[in-house]
Amino acid sequence: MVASLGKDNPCQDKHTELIISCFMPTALKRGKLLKSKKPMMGFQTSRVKTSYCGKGSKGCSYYVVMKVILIFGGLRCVVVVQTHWQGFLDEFDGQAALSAAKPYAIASSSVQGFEVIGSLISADAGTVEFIVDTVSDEFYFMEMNTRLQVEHPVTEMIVGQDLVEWQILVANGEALPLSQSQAMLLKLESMLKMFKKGFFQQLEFYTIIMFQSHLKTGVKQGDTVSMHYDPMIAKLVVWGDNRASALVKLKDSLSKFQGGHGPDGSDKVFRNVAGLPTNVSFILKLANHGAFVDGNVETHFIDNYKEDLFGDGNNSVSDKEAYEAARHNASLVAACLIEKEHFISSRNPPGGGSLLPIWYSSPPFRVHHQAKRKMELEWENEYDSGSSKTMKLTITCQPAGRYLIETEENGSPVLDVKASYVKDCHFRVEAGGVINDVNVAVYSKDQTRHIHIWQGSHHHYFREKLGLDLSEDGELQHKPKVETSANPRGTVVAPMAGLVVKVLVENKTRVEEGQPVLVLEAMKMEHVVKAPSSGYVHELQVTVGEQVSDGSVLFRVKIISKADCGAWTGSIKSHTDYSFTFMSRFWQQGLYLNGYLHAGGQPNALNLIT
Amino acid sequence: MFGLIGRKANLLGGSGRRWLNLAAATATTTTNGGAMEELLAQLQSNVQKAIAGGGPEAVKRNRSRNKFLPRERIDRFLDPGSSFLELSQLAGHDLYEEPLPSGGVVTGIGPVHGRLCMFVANDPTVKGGTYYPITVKKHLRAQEIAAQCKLPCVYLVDSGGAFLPKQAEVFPDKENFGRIFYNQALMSSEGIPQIALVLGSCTAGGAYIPAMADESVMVKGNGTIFLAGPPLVKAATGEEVSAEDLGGATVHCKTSGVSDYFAQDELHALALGRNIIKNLHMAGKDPLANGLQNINHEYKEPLYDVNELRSIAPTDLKKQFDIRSVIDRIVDGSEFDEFKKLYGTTLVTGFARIFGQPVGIIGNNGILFNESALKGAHFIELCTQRNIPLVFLQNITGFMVGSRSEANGIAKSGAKMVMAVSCAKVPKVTIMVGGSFGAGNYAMCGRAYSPNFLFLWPNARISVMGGAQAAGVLAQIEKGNKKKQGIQWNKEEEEKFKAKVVEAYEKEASPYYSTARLWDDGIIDPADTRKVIGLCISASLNLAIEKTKYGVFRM
Repeated sequence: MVASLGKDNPCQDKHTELIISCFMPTALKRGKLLKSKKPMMGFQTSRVKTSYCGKGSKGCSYYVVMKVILIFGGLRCVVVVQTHWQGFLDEFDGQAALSAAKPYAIASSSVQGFEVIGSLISADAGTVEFIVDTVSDEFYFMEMNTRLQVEHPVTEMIVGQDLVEWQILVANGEALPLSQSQAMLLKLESMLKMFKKGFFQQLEFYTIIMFQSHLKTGVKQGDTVSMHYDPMIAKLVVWGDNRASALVKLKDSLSKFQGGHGPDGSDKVFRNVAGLPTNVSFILKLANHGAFVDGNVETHFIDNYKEDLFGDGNNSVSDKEAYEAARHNASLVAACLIEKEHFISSRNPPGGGSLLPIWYSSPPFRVHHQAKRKMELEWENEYDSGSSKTMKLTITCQPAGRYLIETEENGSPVLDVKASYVKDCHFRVEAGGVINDVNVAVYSKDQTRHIHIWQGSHHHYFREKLGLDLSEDGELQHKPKVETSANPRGTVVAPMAGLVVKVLVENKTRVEEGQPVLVLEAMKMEHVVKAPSSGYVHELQVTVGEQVSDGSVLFRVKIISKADCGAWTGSIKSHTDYSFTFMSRFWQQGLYLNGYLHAGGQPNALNLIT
Repeated sequence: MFGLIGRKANLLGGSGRRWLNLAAATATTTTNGGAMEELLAQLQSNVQKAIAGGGPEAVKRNRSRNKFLPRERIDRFLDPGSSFLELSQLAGHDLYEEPLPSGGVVTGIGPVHGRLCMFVANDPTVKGGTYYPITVKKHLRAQEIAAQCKLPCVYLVDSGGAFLPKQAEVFPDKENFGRIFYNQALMSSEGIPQIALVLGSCTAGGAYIPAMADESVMVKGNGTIFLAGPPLVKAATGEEVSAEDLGGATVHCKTSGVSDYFAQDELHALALGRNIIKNLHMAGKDPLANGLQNINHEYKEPLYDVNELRSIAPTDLKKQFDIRSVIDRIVDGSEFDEFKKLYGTTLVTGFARIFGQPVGIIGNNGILFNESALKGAHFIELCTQRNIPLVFLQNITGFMVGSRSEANGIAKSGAKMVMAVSCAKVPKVTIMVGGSFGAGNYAMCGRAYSPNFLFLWPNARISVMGGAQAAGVLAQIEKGNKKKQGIQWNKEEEEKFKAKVVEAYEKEASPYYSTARLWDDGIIDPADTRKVIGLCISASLNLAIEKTKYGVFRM
């Protein structure tokens, strides 16, 4: 199973990008590939992916690497959301693949098919996708992608090869480590035998199993999630002897995803995502869904079980319980943050260490009283969207990393928290006699500190308004921020970074309110930018094919009527049926994520992966 | 306990360093513990009252104006999570008919952007932040320390100016209100930054604090600066004007130029203040702290629990205790290299480190004899030669009296030590851990000898001599006088007279009497001694140590 978590794997894409920019001067467009006769270098690694959507809409994927056929059977359960038919959870089942199709036949046909392509484009390669009709067993060429695709770790695991390494080798002009015949003989034969034995055992045979699961990511704190690829930031691959055990591992890994340590204890493994909404909880919900567990999976799964998946979910948690849990977590957050602050400043005192660290020792010294801190954390109830509560905490610093935390509320007990900082965002907290490992991630944006705390699979999110401490960033003195007032009324800015694909009107054209003016393509979706009000379009500076960045001015509409335009910033109407209102909210924060479903009144960060 | 300490000493004794046998200290542990607890509880209750400021009503009124309390202001000004060495918390304690918590002003030292600053924050909840005589004294003391240690001064101004009913004690004298501005001018001339944040009213004489400052910040609404407030203006000229229009932040930042930074609210003002400190550039101004080069940033904690000092502190000053048991609990790794250990044994001298900072420690182990005084002078000379800060641990009843002592020239020997103490330019920190009587107070760097900092333990006693001794002396004189007049003094009357003297001495020797009048920089919990000394020395090493020049030693 591959769970694609959040943004596309940039590590992967980095390679891809590199190679594309170096070796593929001609942009490849879908459908043009077969006609292209231009010699291209690049991917020797490729895959043939055959998907078929027949009865029951089950998909099946086969992967072929050019000249080296790396084949495995699989049931690609494409759980598709939105209109773009993008899956974010793939499931491969060797047994099913074996019975559902004729892998060898299809694979060899694919190779034949591929050879056809290969003859056209000689040394180049890509991932070729086919659609198979399970009724007639006919299969059709769908598309070819000139890159590795999301599911490639599965291929890698099965065959025990590093496809990315191959990519780099080939890009360097080196030979492929395996020849087609080697692969055919060694891999295919033995794999087919293994197929008969049972796919999952075979999996273990072919992969160097270090961990129970494999998590791939290349992003770390501070990285920009680029707009060029799918919004995936990590992918998780799990396997097991059978579907049930794989599912258990999937759920286990997902629940650990936010709170646990790397499998080898290394902090390099990306396990926490703060700041970007992710679909981890959604996938977890999905994996826990009865129908999914039963294997009743097909492409309309999400649509069919929309209610369950996007519903209120946990009605059992009362407001009071939720609040108490949040209050407890807020206290932990306070203790952890102050403890970390001490940890850092006592080792690295401000001002270049000219001052003795005792001035920053913990607890802060006060004559005959204990240093107190105040913290105001704004908590948003995840179970009751839209309601936020401010918790006023008073923290009394005690020796040995202990903190007495009071909430400004009558009758609420004082919580005694002992926090110790482990590393990065890992803390160990002791509260009420219970010791827990928690992760606390913090980032600041727009004078607000965003704080996430994970304890096991429980997650809380708080905001803290930052005081006007100019010392840290001098925000008030110099604000290189685009003031909204700088843009006169009627200005339309790009709601997201994207490519202008259509410009529908010209300058000085009269437009009506809501009339489409241009079309942006971003995240594989087209977004129509409409006139905010009736008037004349002017300063339309963008042209077709132009890349625009988030917030850049697209055009202005000279308002002729006095209709109030309000704080309109460019209406986006995606081709989907879902509302994208909250989507633009995230874009405004400079986040670039695709496909936030707004269903059932509750925003769900749901990312779509090719 | 005895066994454990003994074992520790054995384990570590191999290096040739002397670790103390704490048998004596351990023995007193049980006897003194209870008494000290009482003293600490009393101290705590007094401090709580002082910290509460002008009471709940005044605090509430303050909050309703979106103002923080002075300690909260300082907390927000300091680097987050940093320590603050507050001074003379109990100034003004039982000094006037009305309570004056903390003397109406909070002073102390803490780091801002890694630079130590002296804070002087008026408490508007205490008599409107007006200056009583003791307020002035506390303000001046803070400035004195700042000047001595070259600490930038941050004035968090919120004061109605001088307390008019006591103007005679506040206004005219040398060490009165005017001295504040004099100090500001002099410090500024010496390159010690003077920063004022006008967070409340700043009337009359107080107006000069921001005006004299190098840079000043004003808060919109709350901050006002004027020489005369609206009522006085109306009386004087008939002009009717609001406080904000007369001397608000807008006027002073836009028109008059009395203030430099305009703050939207108090938090903004504090942030602006922090920024001013960040932008100070003092590097290159003075060859920074030559002492600092010798600091180990890695240090060991004492082997013995610092909390045990509470039980070691003698509540009965007649009882002798080994000062080494104190030293052992305040120095790094309990490592104390004693100097002239076998000579003049009533004075313990030696080298150690406190939080990595080298110190020379001088502690009393009884009455000062000739030899002890000479040893002290010698040791002080050593430390000044080497730029080693001095720590005095006072528990002294005085110099030895009597014909033998006088014949030996005790006055001469004492003078040598006093000369050495007076002239020593290295940072000096004095802690009174017990009695401080007579000339012993002088030789051991009492207040008159300008130690950079002076703190008391709650059990300390300061007077020219013991109450009983004084009563005896006075009774004898009185008896003589009466005899001349031919009056017979009966036993009962004499006892009554003596009791009166003893009572007065007892009262005046109390640490509260001392700290209320700012004869010291505060009463500390013995358990905080190590920390306080560490912070004090760190603050004192903010500037290069001056070369010491001695006067004529009488030989």
